[in-house]
Amino acid sequence: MSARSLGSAVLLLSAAMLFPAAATAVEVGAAAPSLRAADAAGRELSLQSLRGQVVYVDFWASWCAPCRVAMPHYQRWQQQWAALGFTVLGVNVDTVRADAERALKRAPVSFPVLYDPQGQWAETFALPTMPTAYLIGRDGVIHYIHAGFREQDLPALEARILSLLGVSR
Amino acid sequence: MKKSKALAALTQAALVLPGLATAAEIQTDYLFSHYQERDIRGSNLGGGSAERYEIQSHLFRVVSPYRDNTVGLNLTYESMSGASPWFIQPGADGKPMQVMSGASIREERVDIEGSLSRALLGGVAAVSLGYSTEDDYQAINGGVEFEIEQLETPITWSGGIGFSHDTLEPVQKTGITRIDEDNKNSVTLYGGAAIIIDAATVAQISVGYQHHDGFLTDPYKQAWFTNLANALPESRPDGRQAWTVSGKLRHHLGSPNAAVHVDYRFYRDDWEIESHTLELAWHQVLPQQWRLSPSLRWYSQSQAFFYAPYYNDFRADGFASSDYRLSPYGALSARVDVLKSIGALSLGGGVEYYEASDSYALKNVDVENPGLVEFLNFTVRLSYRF
Amino acid sequence: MKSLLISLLLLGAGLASGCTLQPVQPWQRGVLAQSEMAWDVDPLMATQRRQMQVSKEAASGGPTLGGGGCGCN
Repeated sequence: MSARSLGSAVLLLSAAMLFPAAATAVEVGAAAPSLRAADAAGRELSLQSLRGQVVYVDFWASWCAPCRVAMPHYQRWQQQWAALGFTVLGVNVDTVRADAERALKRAPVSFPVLYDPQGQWAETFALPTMPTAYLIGRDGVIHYIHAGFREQDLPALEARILSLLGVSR
Repeated sequence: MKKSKALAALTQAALVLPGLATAAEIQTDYLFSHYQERDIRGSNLGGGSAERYEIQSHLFRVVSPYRDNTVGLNLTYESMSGASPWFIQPGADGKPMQVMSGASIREERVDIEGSLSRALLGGVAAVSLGYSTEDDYQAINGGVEFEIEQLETPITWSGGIGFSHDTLEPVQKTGITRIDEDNKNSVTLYGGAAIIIDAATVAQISVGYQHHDGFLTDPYKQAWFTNLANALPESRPDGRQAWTVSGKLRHHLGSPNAAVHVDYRFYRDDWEIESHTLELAWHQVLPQQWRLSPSLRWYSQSQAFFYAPYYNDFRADGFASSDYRLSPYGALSARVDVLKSIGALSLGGGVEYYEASDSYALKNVDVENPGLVEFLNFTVRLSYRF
Repeated sequence: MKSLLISLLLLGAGLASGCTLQPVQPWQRGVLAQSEMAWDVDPLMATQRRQMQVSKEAASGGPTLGGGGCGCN
């Protein structure tokens, strides 16, 4: 093997490892993966057990500023729409539990928060960014994926949720 | 999905430059610093006051989220006093002796700067505008910066362009020839790439360019001519271009819970000054929300082509400056900062010692400028987030 | 010379692919997001320090625009 061909082979190989083909993404229209993890009290919770409700799965971390900006809005949704069969399900990906707890102390929430310190569920969902949220219908199908968070996205997001809840505004 | 993913780059917790980062809450900051230069050594003093500069600075900063934007306001107030290097005269054996300005000068500087950053075109953009004023100096500056993450790669690109328009109105003094008023314009450009190497390491490589034109001479400084046995106002070219190449590395060590910072900058300009700066810092996170940060910095520069401690005759191009800033030298500085957080409040402080000398220069220096500085800088920090 | 080139290439490619440049996923950037890992850990202190250096040294600049004003002496 000549130096050049060896070189290009190595380059190709390293390029392939640098930019691997994206893992099969969790897509709109597909059934949500069977997320299962423990909450702060150690209780196991799963998406399966929330079947029949409209669920907004929010992957967040204490070190992610837009995640923290979003938190109070999600809490407001929870208070307004829980009675309609809606829940937010927070999935925290902090590796240090205390960091997550400190963030929740600053912005308390009443919806369930699961802990995924190993990033197992983050990997299963193949999050494109932080934060990313998945809107799941009563049928367990993903209706919408929201990557990133800006306050200007709220009206459109809220309209999607309400239409899934069968509420017209 | 493709579209929302591209748009997502802007609102994510990515690797954003400080200042461009999304603010999740209102943060207020205050810094006080006391800067004190050491008196000039008697063996280097050729006249005037041995007492050098002293500066007290107060810096305030507020950063706040506002409708998906981040708004920042910076305010600086400085008061300066002391004598400064005027010209250099040869001593009995030809040894350069620093003549200082006689009377103590007292000046104040106020600087105000506003900035706004927001998600734009799949990245983050920031604009800033500032104004600085002192008795004899006014500056308006502004800039635009941009940062974008290249999706599916570990690379974040950043760049910026800035300008500054400065006006000088030297304080007049009888018996000394000074310009009435003049100005200079500067344009600064930079571009860089940050690469996430692993979950605990990130590096950045960048290049920068500066273009200055106008009055680049120091109106308060003179140069000595032995052929005249007299000093004349210094004179520098009315243009200057500079290039920089910088590298930064940040690495986190899990077990001592510390971040190691390595920063290097190479600088070169068309006044033939070449410079190297190397800085090492260790940010140690300690229990009870304490942080201890020691750091070391080494700086070295070669001289401007027209610089001399003093002149035996006029240069053909008419330039002359004996400013220590244009002389060949090196500098070492060491500093320690400490920070303690109590809930939303952070308190801290630090001290830095800086010494410039010919012996710290990369290359051999023939004659050391007698006006090189040595200083201590004390800082107090306070911040609160709402 | 040639073997040196090849070994350098192998070393570089190995470094780039094997251990170091595994993609760091968005949710794995917690350490990188720590304030101690920022380019400027304390932006306000960095501003004051830069002002001090700019007024004492010939070289300036870097991946920043810098502020205005002189404060020279």
